[in-house]
Amino acid sequence: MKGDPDGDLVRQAQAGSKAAFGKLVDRYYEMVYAVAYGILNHHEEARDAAQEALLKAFREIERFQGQSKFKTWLYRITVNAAIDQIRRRRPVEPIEMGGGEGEEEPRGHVVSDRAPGPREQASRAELGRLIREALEHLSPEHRAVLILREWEGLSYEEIAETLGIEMGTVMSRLFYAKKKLGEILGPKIRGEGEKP
Amino acid sequence: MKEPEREETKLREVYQNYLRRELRQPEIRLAKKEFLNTYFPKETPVWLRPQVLAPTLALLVILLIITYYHPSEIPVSPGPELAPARVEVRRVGSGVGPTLVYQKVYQDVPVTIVWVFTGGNPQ
Repeated sequence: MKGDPDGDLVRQAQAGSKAAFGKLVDRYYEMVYAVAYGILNHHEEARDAAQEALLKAFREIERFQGQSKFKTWLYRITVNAAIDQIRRRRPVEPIEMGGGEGEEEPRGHVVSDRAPGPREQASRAELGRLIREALEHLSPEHRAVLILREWEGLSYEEIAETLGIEMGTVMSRLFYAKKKLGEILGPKIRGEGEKP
Repeated sequence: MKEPEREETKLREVYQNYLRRELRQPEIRLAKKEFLNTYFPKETPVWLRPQVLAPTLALLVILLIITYYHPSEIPVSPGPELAPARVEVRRVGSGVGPTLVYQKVYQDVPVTIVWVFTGGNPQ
């Protein structure tokens, strides 16, 4: 565990200190939640998966030998918990692309520091809905690579270590994920860019 | 910057802004707080635990009493003044042995009287 910034707390947690693990939870809850949300694209499920991952990490902390950093180990547990959560999902209706009447509002409300005007709010909601739908077209494994790279800022190597896959696989998954998002979101992005 | 690169950058920006908005929800913070309180509550400092705090406070109270309590300063109320008990005895005898015990009520107070005849039965 040399060089791991969480080494001390991990050792205390391994010795049975619940409070020490609580400090690790306090430190990494948001990160775990973000990864779970990036894969699940759903708040309630992300909360369940994140908390399940943290409890699993607590149960298995004694087995953690420090071959990787605690954070990397936690990423791995989180990704697995999120993918398990998807497997438990009941079949859902396919997503329809395009506008139309009676369309659902995006899940979760948008909170902003400043109140956006109605036009901006509508545009954001529309973009949010589009992104969500675009992400639904990716497999959980592709979404995992995307969130770890584009949100958590992990290197290809770190992603490969976290997910236990080859670096080439990381690169090809990332390439495919971006291509797919580009296909769906490209026209919208280009359209926005053309606006005065 | 080339067009595909520009689009990739824009795409990254859009994705990150989307996540930023989604992850700013106050419910996430509340769920975290609740989760921490349920599974990993903060430990009370040793000196604040009841098994340490209660004896410490008790000791403190005793020390305060010892330091500031002066018995001479405390007024003592005199006890009730009772007239000395007067029992009129005309004849005393015992048919059972050298000791005689009986009770009398004097001013609502039961009085036990014990006679011990050291020199035998005085009849």
